[in-house]
Amino acid sequence: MSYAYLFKYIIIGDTGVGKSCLLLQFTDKRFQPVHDLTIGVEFGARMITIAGKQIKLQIWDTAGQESFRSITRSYYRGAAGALLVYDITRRDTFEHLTNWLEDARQHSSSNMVIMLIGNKCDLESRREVKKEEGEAFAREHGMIFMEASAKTAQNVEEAFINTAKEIYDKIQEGVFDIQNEANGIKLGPEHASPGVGGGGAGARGPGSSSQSGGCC
Amino acid sequence: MAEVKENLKAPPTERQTSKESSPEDLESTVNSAPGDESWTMVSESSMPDDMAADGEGENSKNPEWIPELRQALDEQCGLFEVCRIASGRVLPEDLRVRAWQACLDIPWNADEQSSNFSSWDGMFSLESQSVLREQCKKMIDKCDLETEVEKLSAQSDIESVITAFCSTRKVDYVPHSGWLEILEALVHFELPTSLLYEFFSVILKKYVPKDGPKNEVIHHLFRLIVLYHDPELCNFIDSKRVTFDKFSTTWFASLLAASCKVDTLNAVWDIYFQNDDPFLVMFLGLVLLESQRDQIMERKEDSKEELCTFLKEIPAGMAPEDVVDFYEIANSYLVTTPKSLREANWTTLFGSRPVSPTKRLHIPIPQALCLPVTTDEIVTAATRHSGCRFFVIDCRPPEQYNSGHLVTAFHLDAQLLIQDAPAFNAAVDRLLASQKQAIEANSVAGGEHLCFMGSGFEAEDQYVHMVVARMLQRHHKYVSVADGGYEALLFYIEANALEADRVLAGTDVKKAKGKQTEVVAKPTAVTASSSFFGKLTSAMKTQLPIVKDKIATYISNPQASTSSAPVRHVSADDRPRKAQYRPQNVFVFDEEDEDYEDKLDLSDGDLQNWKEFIRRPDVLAHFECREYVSNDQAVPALLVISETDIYNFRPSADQPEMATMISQHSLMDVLKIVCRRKIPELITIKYGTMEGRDVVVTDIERFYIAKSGDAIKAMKLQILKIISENEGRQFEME
Repeated sequence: MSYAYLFKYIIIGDTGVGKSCLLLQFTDKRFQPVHDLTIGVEFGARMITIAGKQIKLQIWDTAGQESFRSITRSYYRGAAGALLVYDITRRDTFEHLTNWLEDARQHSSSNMVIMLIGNKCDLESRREVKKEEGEAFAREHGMIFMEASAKTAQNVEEAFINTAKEIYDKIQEGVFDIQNEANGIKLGPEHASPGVGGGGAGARGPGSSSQSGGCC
Repeated sequence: MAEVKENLKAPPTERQTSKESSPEDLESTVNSAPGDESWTMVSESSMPDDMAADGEGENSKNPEWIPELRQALDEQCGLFEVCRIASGRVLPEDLRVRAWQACLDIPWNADEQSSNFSSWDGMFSLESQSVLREQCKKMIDKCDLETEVEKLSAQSDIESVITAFCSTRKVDYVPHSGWLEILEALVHFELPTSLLYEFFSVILKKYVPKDGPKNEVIHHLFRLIVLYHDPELCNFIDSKRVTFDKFSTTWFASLLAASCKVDTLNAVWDIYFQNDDPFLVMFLGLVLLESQRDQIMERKEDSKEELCTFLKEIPAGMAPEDVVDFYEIANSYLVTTPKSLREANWTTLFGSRPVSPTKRLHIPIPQALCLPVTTDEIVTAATRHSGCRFFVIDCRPPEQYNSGHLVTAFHLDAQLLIQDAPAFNAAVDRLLASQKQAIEANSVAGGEHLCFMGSGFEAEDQYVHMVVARMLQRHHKYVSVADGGYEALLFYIEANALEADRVLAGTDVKKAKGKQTEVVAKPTAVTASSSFFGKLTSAMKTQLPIVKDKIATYISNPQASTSSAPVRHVSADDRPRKAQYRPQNVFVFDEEDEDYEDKLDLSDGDLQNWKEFIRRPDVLAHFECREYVSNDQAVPALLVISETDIYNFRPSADQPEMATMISQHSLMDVLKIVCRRKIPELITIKYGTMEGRDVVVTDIERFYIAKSGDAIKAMKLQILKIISENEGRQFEME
């Protein structure tokens, strides 16, 4: 299918916070309570629409174990967006966020959009991390924040799509150099001819920016 | 368990039977004095099959070996003799301690002599002395010793040994180190304290892995081995969030003493000490897991803790009569596991032998996604008679592959996985079909063991990792990755001064013919000079754009890539046929081997530097000795044992580093090694072939070697290895 842009995402966070479940919920719209541990890295893709533009999200789901950090690191490069996930029922996963963030900032392009997600918000009774704490952490580090549940699908679409909007806005603002693929953004086939260049005529249309603003 | 055994049992080989039929009259061709003990090396002893057949009933059925062992032990023999006579069997109770002592190479007079134990000042002054005392007492209380006196004396022995061990090494006692369990197993034999100390310290030194500060290498190693042979089981345990150290720490730290019943443990150690291989415990661990595989996989509803307890207790379920079978299976796993891991980690874990630079791994073990294999093992796999055979899959972008790749490597475009998953799956299926064909054609490019090769640069190897992960997710066994990737291969070629166009193929390599290696490095725009890591940065700069272009073309033109990529890039379809019809192209390594021989088969008088020769990676051991050229004339000689051959050098009289090669015999041509009990240093090696039912002796050499036991052991182990690996391979191919 043709698309205007391709955004590359990476999902990171401690093992067991529900990274693969979020991806599965987003790409397949289903929840799998028991599943195998992610081996190394897995991959998913889905088409979304922002401002009337078809955008393909290419999502790399990584293994959370400490020992695979070095493999994970190689996937930061060339990612436009990252979903940094913790588990609201496990305090330690929240406390490790700083490490993850350091890793991400160090190995990714400086423009990478990071979305902080407190997953498993359906398990209110077992909550260990307050929503306010998540918000505060996100504010402090310049991230967007959202609590979500891969099980109930609450906020899952939003998490992926809002990240994409943020990236899209940055493209409109000219922050991203979309000719440089190290930023994790690719022009789709319809823009691919080198003559068009830049942000592309379609991308800067007035309708698109207002529409995207309205959604946010 | 039965099923596993069935699968792994190797068919007896012809070699075995032929050796057994070696006519006795051959004996007369050797000048052995009457009454001398001589033995036929290959026919007797420790064939994996013998071990299986013997089992427990052996002692009653065929007990001749027991008096023989008794006599040998009376004569204070060593490991080699015990192995020869006991051939991997469970030992009789009354000979056990002495046989262990022989196997562990503990001096026969260790109890009287001033052992290390006597250098201890006798002070019980460890920091955690009280903890130690408490634990000793607890342990002794559950022992079935009869009188209080016995208990007290055992308790004091154990405390003394550990205290002495810690004091002399200036370390503190660490609870849960497995030491108490080892001593508990030994204390039953009522040894003098100083001898108990020797047993304890030798077992620790030889067989208990010494690990990094976090004590983690061994468990990751163990996990990688399990992952290699059974990805599904490994993934199940991982998914239950049970890390391997949680259940296997005590297995390794106590050499299974903590988890086995006493009589089982004795049998385990009987064979373990005979095998003399510290890594074997990991393969025993794998067998233990496999023996309970179905039960483990059924425990889907278990909590993490429940599963962990279950796993930990598996060894307790092993009965003495299982032990011989377990070893047989463990050995089969061992020979079907690439040996890079063992070689690279020997020093870390068992701290005795240095690792040659070519056998070091780039990747830290805890970070490895799957089993890493060194370039050395991949490149030499084709020339060796033994070891794993690899089916190398190059996952770099097509243009990099086309410009230069390992001659036996097939190509798989890793980026296809992202572009077009069905096309990728189809490509993988075609590759696996090619693998099957290549194995059937017995091509050097064929092999059961999949080895994925990337560029060796982090930025690009994300695709290789992805392919490897995909294979593991599909529970494909025998998945490994070429450590350091293509870059390490280039480096290896240069470091070992190999001719690039024999090892590599591709457009740029052909151009490079006659111009030597630096041109070969061109495809990656890196000159294969200077240090490997120094080149990383520049190479990344030069390589990145290539990859990006590739992504660009794919993404902008997905249709085109779908239709053309699998056909064009997976050259798998035609390669096996090439291997069948034009073997001269594929059997490059064999050619090289011949060249090697040409170079080495110098006419008498041609000198070469033997010190350099013995540094060759395949050389296992060398012995300075004397060769008997006639009955009463002995000349200085140098016996070199490589992975495949036995070399006999005559050192030059005036140049100490130079020597003339007198002979080179394949290890597979060894008919017999005869050694005399009265003069154990004198060994006779007979070489020859079987022609029909006749044995044709082609050569006989006699050496006087101070360390004859070591020399014989080295040859014997290597011959057995070759045989068992050949068997393994034959079986795999069926």
